[in-house]
Amino acid sequence: MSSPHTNRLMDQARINLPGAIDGAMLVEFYSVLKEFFTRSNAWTEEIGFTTILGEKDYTLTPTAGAIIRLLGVVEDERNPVNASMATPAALKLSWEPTEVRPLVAHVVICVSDASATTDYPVYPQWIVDKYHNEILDGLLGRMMAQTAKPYSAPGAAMVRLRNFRAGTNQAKLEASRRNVFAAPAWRFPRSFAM
Amino acid sequence: MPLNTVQDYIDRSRGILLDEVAPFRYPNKDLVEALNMAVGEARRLRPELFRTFFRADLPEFSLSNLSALVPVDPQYRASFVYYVCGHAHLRDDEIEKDSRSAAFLNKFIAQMLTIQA
Repeated sequence: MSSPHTNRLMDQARINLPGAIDGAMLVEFYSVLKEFFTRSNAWTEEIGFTTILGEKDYTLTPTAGAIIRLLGVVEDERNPVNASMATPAALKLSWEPTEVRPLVAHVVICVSDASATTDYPVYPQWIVDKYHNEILDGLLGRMMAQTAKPYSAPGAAMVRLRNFRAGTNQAKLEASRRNVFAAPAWRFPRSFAM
Repeated sequence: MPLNTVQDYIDRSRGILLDEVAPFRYPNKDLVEALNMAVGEARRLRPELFRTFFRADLPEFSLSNLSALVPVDPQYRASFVYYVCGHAHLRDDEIEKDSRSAAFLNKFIAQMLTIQA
C-alpha cells in the first residue's frame, strides 16, 4: 500500500534507477517483500479459533497477506498443542478434539496478491519503516540485476543484494527475539521450531 | 506541446521531418504505421514498458482514431518520435537520408537500452 514510508522508498529508488518505470519497480518491489518476509519471519499474527468436536482440520484466515508458516498453536496462552500445516493456512491438529476449546495459532505472514487492492501489496508499515534501507537495497539490487536496461549494473546489484540478504538475516534474528535487545532467541513452546 | 495522442506523435515527427505543410511528403498512414512498429520494437527491447499488455494484444493505432492515447511512459515518448522519423526516412533513397534514418533508429534503440544516449 502507498504510504509516506513507501513513497520515500520509491522516490529513492527512482533517483537511483534512471530510466526505470514505476510499473517495473512495483513488480520487483513485490518480489523483494516476498523474499524479505519469507526469510525473516518478521510479520507474524496470532489467530484465535475454537475447536469443533471431532474436527482436526481448520482453515486460518489472516488479517492481511498470506500465511506461509506455522510457528505453533497454544492453549491458555502457554500450553503447546501439537499441530501441523502441510498446506499454508490449512491447520491440522494431531488429535481429535473431544471438547470445545479456544486455541491460538501463531503464524508467519507474507505479502500476497490476493490481498492487494492496489499495485502495492498490503504489508505492515512499521516493518518497511524499520528496515527501510535493507528493503531499498533489495529493490535496487533486483532492478540493477536486470539485463539490457539503462539502469543495469551487475556489480552494484551484487553489493545491494548482499546488503539486502544481510539485512534480512538481521531482521530474522530480531524477529526471533521479538525485537528485544540482547534477549535470548524467542522460542515458541518446545517442539515447535521456527 | 505534450506527447499523448497519435496525432501528437505525428505532429512532432513532422516538425523534425520538415514536413509540416500539405501536401505531405510523408502521409499520415506511413507515420501511424511507423508508430505501430515502434510499439513492437519497444516491447521487444523493454517489455516492462508494456506491462499492462502482457495478457493482451499490443495497442495498434489507425488513421481512424488519431486522438487515441499512446500508452508510453513519459520518459520514453521522445524515443518513439525518433523511431517514427527514422522509419519515415527509410523509404527515401537519398544517401544523406539513409544516414539520418540510421541515426534516428539507433537513437531510439540507444535510449531504450542505455542512459547516455
